[in-house]
Amino acid sequence: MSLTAQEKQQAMAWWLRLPGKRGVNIPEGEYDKIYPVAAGIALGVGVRQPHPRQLQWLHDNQITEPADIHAAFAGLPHPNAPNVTVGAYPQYAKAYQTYQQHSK
Amino acid sequence: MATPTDAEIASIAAEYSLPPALLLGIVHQEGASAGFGLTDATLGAYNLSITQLQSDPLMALTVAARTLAQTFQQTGSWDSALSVYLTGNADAWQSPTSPIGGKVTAILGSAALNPSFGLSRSFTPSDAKLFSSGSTSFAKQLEQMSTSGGITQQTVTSYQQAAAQISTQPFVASANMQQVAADILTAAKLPVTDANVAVIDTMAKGEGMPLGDFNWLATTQGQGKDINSVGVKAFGTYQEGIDATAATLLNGNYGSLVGLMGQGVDLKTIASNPGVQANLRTWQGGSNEDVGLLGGLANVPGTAPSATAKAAPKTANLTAQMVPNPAAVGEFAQQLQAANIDPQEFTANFPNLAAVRRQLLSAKRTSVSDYADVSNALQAQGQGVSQAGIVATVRGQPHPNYPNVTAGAFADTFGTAMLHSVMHTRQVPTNGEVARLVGLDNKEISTYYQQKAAAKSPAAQPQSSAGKIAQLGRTS
Repeated sequence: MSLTAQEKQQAMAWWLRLPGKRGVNIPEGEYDKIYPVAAGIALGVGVRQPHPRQLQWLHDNQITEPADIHAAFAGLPHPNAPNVTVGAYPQYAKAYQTYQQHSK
Repeated sequence: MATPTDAEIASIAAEYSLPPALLLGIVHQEGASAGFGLTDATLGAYNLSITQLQSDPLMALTVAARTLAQTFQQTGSWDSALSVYLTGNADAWQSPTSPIGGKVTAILGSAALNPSFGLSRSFTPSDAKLFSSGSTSFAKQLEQMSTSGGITQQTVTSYQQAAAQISTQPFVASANMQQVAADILTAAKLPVTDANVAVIDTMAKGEGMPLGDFNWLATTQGQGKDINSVGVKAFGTYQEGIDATAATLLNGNYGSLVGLMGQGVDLKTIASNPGVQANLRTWQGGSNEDVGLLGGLANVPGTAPSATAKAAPKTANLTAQMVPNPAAVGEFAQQLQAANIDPQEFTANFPNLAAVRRQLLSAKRTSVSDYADVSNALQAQGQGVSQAGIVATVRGQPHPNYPNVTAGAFADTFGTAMLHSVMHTRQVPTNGEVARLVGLDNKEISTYYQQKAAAKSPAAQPQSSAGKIAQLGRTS
């Protein structure tokens, strides 16, 4: 199946509207700086790649240093643990384990 | 650069004895870069150029796998190994100012998306020891990642089970074997008791079969593939092995063994039975090995089903303790937040509170609200939560059974009363007696027990009823 010229144009326009593209919305050098750190956090926390909108937001807000990216993610709600932010999760997980171990 | 197929990745991982998921993680995270993120120094060492690797992705992946296997052998952990792989520096991943830490975590995280990737029955690592070591380290890495809440217990457990099934090593005693034994017994409709599990486990040790053949007791029955001249099978699935082993036990040749197992007798009774010993020799083609192994074991009860045999393997239980469920953590966090409790402070002080409550209040359970009560009481006094504060607060709480006295005063009086009661009456004081003695000093308590002893003596005269001490004696 091949696309008509108009469909190709529409597909391209749609693709161009997507955020977080390396070398398109985000310069390659900056993307390569942001992506590994963001992926390290997102994969560890939610077993998923960082969302392109997250990458775009980091770029738009000039958050490119590892410590700043960590700080930005730390404030987000944890994807698997309601009521907890990504940054606070390890502390609550440890408290929960302590509770399980000693409450009975 | 073309991406290698899953089969190619698994094949190269087997050649270099790597967990295939890690190599897949490198392909996913570094596949866009020339040479899968290998350093110039590494490429130089192989006398390869980026151009060559770009035109031959399988060669690039082979170099990547070989380098990763070498760096793991040098460092012993995957985060350091990946750090060396990417930069040449084992510590680079730990630097907060470098993106290498993120790259390393991203590769590991990508591997964690499907940690059991490639671990099919056909996966045969060339170096069993290296694979085992790498696999154990990867499992630890998964557990560490679980502290962020992305990896679940099931993920870690299923990886450990998949890795354990790789037929690389002769049988080693494994907590998994308890689950296998329980499943065989269940399939044979025999009771899952400690003794019966021990028998199956011991027979498996005697056979020494590779775990990946799913034929722990080396049966020749069933539809598996023959792996030796006698017709011992290798089964395609776990369940086939379980069913064939159960069918063998019930084929009529092992009546004494099955009969005693069915009665749920203890291990000593099974091991010392001549009929069972004959059955075991039949099972082992005349060998006495199983008989000797069973005879050397300490006795194990037969009737009570074992919790460990019925539950998941010990390794999984351990993992369950180490890897909390993120949803449960979220619910627990809500409780702490509602009570305005800092999680770090809770972690530091909750064990003390639980121990003090067990000791002074005979509390079987300590809840978050118990902690909140103590924390609030201390805050009202302008104090933070501390060990001394916890002890003082719990001591000041009413005794659960004698609310007119405090738990602390009761505990102190109990110690003194115990001393004098045993000395004079050779009896342990009752709790009611202790509660009534609260407020008396050491001398008064001593006098009380002297009078009590005298009152019980046949030669003793009735005591005067005057005074508090005599009054306590009469009411005791």
